[in-house]
Amino acid sequence: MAPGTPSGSPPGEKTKNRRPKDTKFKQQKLPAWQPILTANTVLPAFFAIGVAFIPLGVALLVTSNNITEFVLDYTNCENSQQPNETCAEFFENVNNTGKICQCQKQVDLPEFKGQVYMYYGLTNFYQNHRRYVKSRDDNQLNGQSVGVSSLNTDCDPYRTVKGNDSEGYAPCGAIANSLFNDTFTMTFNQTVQVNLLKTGIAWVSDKSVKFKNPSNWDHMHKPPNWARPVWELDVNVTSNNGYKNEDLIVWMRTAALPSFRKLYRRIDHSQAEFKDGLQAGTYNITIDYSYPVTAFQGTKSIILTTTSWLGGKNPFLGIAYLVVGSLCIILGVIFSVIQLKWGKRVGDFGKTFAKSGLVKDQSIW
Amino acid sequence: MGNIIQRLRSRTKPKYRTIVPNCAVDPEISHSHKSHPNHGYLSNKIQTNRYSVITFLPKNLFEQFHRYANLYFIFLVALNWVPEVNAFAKEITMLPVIFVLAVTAVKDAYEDFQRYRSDKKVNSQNCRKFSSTEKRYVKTDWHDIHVGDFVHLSCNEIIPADILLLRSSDKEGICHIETCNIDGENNLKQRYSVKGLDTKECEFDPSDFHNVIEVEQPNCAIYKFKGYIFENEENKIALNRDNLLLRGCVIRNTDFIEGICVYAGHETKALLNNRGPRYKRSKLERAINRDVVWCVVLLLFLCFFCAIGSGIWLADYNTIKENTNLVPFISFGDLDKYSPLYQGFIVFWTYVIMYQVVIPLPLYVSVELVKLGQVYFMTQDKEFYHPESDKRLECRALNITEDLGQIQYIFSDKTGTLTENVMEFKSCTIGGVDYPHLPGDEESSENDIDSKFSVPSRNSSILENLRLEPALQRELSNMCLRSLDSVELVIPRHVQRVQEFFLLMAVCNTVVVSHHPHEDNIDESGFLTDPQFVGGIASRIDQPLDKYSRLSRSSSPSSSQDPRDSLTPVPSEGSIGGSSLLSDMSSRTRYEAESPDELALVKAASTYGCRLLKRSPKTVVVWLPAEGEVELEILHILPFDSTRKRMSVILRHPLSKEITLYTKGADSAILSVLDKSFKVDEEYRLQRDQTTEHLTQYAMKGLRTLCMAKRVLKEDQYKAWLVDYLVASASIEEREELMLKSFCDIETGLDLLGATGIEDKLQDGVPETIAKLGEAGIKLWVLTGDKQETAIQIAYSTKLFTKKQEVLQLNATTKEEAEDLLRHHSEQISKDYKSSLKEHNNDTSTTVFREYVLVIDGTTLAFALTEELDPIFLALCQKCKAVVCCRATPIQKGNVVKLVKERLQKMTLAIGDGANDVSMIQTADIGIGISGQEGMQAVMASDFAIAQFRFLLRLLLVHGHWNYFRLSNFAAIMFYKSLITVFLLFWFQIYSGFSGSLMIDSLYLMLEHLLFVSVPPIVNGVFDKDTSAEQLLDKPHLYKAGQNSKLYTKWTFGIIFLDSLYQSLVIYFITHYSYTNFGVGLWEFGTTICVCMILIILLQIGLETNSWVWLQWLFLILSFMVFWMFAIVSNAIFFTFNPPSNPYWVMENTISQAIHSCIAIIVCVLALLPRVVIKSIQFTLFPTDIDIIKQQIQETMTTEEKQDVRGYDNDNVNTTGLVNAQTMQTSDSSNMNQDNASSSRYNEMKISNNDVAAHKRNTSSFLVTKL
Repeated sequence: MAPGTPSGSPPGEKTKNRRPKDTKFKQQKLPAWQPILTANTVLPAFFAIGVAFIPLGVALLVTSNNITEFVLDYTNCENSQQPNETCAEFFENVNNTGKICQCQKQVDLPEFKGQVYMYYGLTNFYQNHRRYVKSRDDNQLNGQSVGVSSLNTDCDPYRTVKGNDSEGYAPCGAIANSLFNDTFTMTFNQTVQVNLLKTGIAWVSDKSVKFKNPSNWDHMHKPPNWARPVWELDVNVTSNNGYKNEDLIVWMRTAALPSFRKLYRRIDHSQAEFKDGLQAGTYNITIDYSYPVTAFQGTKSIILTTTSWLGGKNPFLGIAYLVVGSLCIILGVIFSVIQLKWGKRVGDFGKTFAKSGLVKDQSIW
Repeated sequence: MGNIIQRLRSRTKPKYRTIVPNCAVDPEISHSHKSHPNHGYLSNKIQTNRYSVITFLPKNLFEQFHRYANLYFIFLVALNWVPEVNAFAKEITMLPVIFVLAVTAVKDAYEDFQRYRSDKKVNSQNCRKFSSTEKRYVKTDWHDIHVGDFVHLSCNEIIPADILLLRSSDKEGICHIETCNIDGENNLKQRYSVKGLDTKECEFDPSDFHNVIEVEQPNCAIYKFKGYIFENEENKIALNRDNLLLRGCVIRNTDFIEGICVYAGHETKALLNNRGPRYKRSKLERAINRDVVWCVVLLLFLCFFCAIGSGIWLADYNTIKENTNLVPFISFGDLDKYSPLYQGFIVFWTYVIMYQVVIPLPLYVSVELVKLGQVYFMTQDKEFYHPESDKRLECRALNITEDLGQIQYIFSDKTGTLTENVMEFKSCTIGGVDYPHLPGDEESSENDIDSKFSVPSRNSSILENLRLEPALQRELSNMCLRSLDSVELVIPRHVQRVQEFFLLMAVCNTVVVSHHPHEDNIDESGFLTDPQFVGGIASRIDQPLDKYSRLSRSSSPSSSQDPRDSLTPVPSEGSIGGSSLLSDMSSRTRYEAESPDELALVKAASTYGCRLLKRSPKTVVVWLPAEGEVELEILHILPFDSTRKRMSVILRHPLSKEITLYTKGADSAILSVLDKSFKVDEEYRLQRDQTTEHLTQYAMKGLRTLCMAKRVLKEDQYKAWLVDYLVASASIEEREELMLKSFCDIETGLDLLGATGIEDKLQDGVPETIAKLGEAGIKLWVLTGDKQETAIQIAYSTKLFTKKQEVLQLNATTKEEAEDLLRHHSEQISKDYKSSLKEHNNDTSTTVFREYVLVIDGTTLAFALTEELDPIFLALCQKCKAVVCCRATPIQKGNVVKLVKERLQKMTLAIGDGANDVSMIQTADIGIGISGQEGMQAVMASDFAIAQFRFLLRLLLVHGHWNYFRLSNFAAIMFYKSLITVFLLFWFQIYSGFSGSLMIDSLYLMLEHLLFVSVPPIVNGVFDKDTSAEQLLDKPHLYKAGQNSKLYTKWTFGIIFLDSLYQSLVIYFITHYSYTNFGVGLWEFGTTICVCMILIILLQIGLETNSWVWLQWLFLILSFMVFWMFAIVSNAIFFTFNPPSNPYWVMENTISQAIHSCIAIIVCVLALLPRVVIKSIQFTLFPTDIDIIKQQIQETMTTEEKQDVRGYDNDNVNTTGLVNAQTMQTSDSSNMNQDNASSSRYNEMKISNNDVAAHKRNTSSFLVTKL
């Protein structure tokens, strides 16, 4: 209202009745539920949580324990060509970069029941580093015709070929460049080759939507660390070639933590020897070691594991459930004691203390 | 902008503006055209909106970028565009900025639209301006008025622009205006049409008026105006402020006026005086800002920590210098960039962006939203509605709602605030005889005359409770002027005094009489309504008077019958005449007075038959019981001023030509100037002493007293004085002093007639309100300009003082005396306290500590407020239960408030209704205006306006408490959710090489505080209640939580900090370790953490919700669903808009795994466990007052349920629970009058309150701070 004008209505006009509407909403009298947290009311909840959590914890623990897992750290495995030299040492020689160091491991495995998976595990590998995570071009991986110049600049320094800005890397970026390229083969009792399936290891959504091959590979080059270009990753199976290669897809899904494992292969259980899992016995694992990790104090391992509805072998969650469940039960007991001892009606409190109170609040002194 | 233009104009243009009447200009020329003589002057169109549709965006953005907080946002966004630094996707970081800017812009746009609408309403009001083409006044919108237009206004119309008065319906050219809208003064002021202008009154025709007018350039001085009208070449008539009608004033008591517009629109004095609203910052907001500083500290600490961590981490990989390929996850284009120091520096800024949410910037926007909601519901509260005045609560300040819950001191005005400011004539003493006017129990039939005798500006009638004294009426019934001056006649001296007393009551005032509703002969569209008057407008001016005189003549015979014939019932005689007259006249007679006291006196005199009929500057017409209408000549009116504290009129007797001075004023002002015979003569002295005694009695009853005196002036005395007076009034320098001296010269040697006692009625529910405010721990000080006795009396009647308390009165005349008094009382109280404490120790049962109340008068207060004495004064005041300052000036009122506010650091509230309270209303933390009798000035200066004093209780105890409680919770939640988010990101940094990596999609992070968890706190901030309004009103001590700032303390932030730290640890590490050996991807990991975080924040909000209404359920569940659905839907669509995260199908894959749900469940339970445990232990073992009440209510309900089940009749069972139930019901009606039932309930509640207090004292002080 502009000043100098009356705040009331102009004369002659009947003043409106300004009484506010008497609705429950406007008068803030909506029906309300006032929960109060007393020892008495939370007691049942604690016991209920305790009773629910402890069995669940047991179930989780049992599930985790039922999983058979075998971990083989092969970081320092011996070079089969040059005894007395580990593969890690082999790669400390700068000249050997890009070469392959083959090594063999003989392991005694327990029996694995059910579907068995082969993982590779890396430690101290910061796949979650900010620059590293960003160093990719999802449009390129999606098969869109991304020109070399419009590749994501975060891919630098693995975006364009040094000194030639019209030639780019496919796929660009540090993630792709550092693709894990050790390969494993496994034989049972020296004779039976264990068939390892290369497919079905990546997310279906990634394989079908996120990763697609472009119509052509013009002006594209293999990343510096790669031995072969991307379109030759799996020349035998076209559906697993190019960006659609599942090893690449799995690697491109960056891990959350510096110690991680990634699914490498599935054991082919159509073989008669392994139809119920892996038999107990001696296995030979041949590793084509070409991925140096010692520079960042990393380790590499092969993991063979069965799986459950919960994932891998990890008793943590089960124990956590047990601990929290027991904690709730203990708290429930404590609260019961409190309730019995002090949790009388509040009105009674007043009577207990009424006599000892001073006459007036003398706070002004 | 306007100011600049104006400054430019005033610099380049001459001092005066020349105005040519528009009818003298060719109507074809447009006003804006250069050839128009009045071009360049603003038109009357008002535009207060700042934006137009086109300019809104750029202008508003420009203004918003001036704000400090927004600059921070902009800085962050800009930082994010540095490629080295960028933490989030560039586009995403802009979301919060855009959101905050958009919310503010919408708010600004809405406010601006409101301004536009009100402007439009104002601009489209109608008035009549003279059209030179049609040669008559035509209906026009206000905005069409231009400088130089002739305007015609009728009675009660609002003046559309600053208008030079050229003609009024009054013969003398007088026009009355009410300036309430400008200065808040409700009395009528007189304005005069330009004198000396060659206009034959009746033939004034705008089209003949061609004189050029020269006036000052527009300025904001309301009381100054200078100008000239050029009558012809050499002759010019001076204009002064009495000729100017200001925009916004209302025409009163005048049929119509005509004038020429000299200033219009934004150049009017009223608009030039407009000042913007003040910005107040609430106490809680200051506390919040303190914690924002902590957030900044935390931000800097985290950023430094992470930057250093990043450097150390990077330094570990020193082999990188030899072979860049060996460490594949550190990829730099060139090795130069690899330097721990450099990278640490870069990453520092990355972290500044990442952790930006730690400073809850949405807090400021959402706090405003919450307060807006609170204000809405406050204004909607029907308990604040006052049907008589049709007013409800008005919030004028939007940002201090929670301060209402923290008030420690209230400073109240007395008149009009505690009292109605409706004066009722209660009793009088004449010539030493008291006429107490005791209220009779019989139905006073004579009083029904008042039913129509109502005055529009003062709503209720004065005479309702007045029972006429038969003796007085008898003595008045033969009153005629002849008897007044004929001392030697048979009339006894006392009767003569009585008659003079009433004559004085009727004439010694500035009351204006209007006999008829003012009628204008021009209708709204400017046509003359009555064809009879088309020819001569002026001829009808006298017409109403004729009507009146006819009426009075016709009624006079009935009243002039000899009253002595019928002594029983005596009163009926005078009033029958009166009633017959009044019944004819009632609809037409209106008294319009400057002060309600005068009105009361005039009306009382009128009830006794001594009726004021007409007043003009030179004459006053009264109607006397025996004589009828009599015209007295007024020689002078010596107006009231605060130095003399009295006013006088000098009249010439129509028959004897004798000159009489009638004076009325404050008792001290009159008694000091009485004739010396009152000291010498025994009889006179007795009369004086008796009158003084009666005055004291009146004051004790709480009545306002006025003394009446007269003086007969001899012709030569008068003439001698007149010379002095004229010299004084003509003098330019020291005019004020000379006039004062001249007034005092003639106001001496007075003959005391008597005194009156006028009651200022207490407002409804004042004592109860004051009692409850006291229980709430609020100290009430009354600051009044009234005299000491009246103030003390009001203090007793409002129960501010009780009989048990000892009243300390401080009346000092010198500073030394004041100091002695202050020290003496201060020491005395301490001594008393010590002795009673000793007694208390000896015998615990009987001792009662004495309570003191302080009364201090204006003079002493002036000493007490000096720098040397104010510490002692404050110390003394703090020891007293209540303080009353009387005879305080407006400035002193403000100073007292300032003293308490600044020296004691207390939250203060000032409440008042008049212009004299503006100073304290503006000084106090919260100013409350009572929209009552004395105009709008207090309301204009206030933060909240209420209609009645008693509404203050609900405003503070209920809404204040709620608002404080809600905002405390709200602020805590806002900090909490910022902190927990930041901590979660921080823990991840340890495992990602302090690289500034995010596991949660930045889209979620940005939307979290805008969308996912923003609404439930706001809903709680508006709707949550810790306990019901009834309980809060019933147990005022609950208010103390807010007073002592118990709900948001400096520990609150610490507790939030620890809580969010703990919860973030639980969320992060349980997820972290559960996903070990799982082969989890970065984004699945982050998604699980994000789901847990949102879930826990919402659950936490739920835990902190005290009362659930469906809205809270709805928004809490909706918030989670929105997040959930947003995640699912956005992850189901393949897009590469937001690198690095490409969240395609992440959410779907994550939630389809059982481990996700397992983690979410245990994390929620474990994270919230401590809070639940501490809360319930606190509730069970160390309950707060509110908790106890909650429990009582719950028990009540369960008992009721049980009883219902058992089928008992509720009435027969008496349990505590039922008493509470009744409490809730009865207090619901908010009837403040304590009947027996409620007072017994009241006692009961008091006992239980004491129990609670005692209980609290005795339980150990466990650190429980409510969040």
